[in-house]
Amino acid sequence: MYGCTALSKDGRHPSGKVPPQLLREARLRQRDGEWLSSAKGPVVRRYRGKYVAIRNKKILAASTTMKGLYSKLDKLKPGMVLITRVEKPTLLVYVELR
Amino acid sequence: MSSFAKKWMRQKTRTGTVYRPVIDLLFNEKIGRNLYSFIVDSGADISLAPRQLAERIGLDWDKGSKITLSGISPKPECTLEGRIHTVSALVPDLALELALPVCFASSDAPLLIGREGFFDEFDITLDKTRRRTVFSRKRVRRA
Repeated sequence: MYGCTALSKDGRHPSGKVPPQLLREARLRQRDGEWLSSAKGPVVRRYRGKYVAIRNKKILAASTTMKGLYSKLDKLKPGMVLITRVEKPTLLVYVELR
Repeated sequence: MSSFAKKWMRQKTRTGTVYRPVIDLLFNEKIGRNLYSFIVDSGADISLAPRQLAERIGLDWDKGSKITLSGISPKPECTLEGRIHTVSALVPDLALELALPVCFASSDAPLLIGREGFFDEFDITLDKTRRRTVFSRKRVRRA
């Protein structure tokens, strides 16, 4: 049996529509992802293997663990950020489930 | 709009630059919301994320379906425990809320979107030449 959590508890208007303001902010954060993708090597190199939180084209926090990243974000309280992992300079391969 | 295109994420490897297909998903957390960039992994049976994300969005990790994760190495010490939960995530490009089964690994893991749940919702074109992914919402079949 799977657990379940509902996005709609506070992220949606009672009509079921996603608030435009929320979408606008999410799209701004998507641009931060595009910025990371186009960032120069030296910027990215120092974050390899780390989870990073980006807002307004700045890496606000980084950590090798998600726990560490959340801890930093909880102190900063920056509002919505884009979270991703800058992968190590290796090729990605599969994970098997059993 | 029922489709959108997303540019691939550029990352350097020791063998050169690779471009990886990604998608951004918004999660409601216990406090606030954040956007997460996931790699689209058509070879993965199910989506993958670290345990801390499950806890951040208010799930009790232990209550999910128990599963063992392993990679290339056959060594038992190289396996990880995981729990599968169905979570709600928002695709901001379409303002679309999805119920998505995700395996939350006990330790830190990459953010991957696998086939289960996600590929049921979209026809996905991985366009390597143009380094972009086109996500087209599948039409709902009516009886």
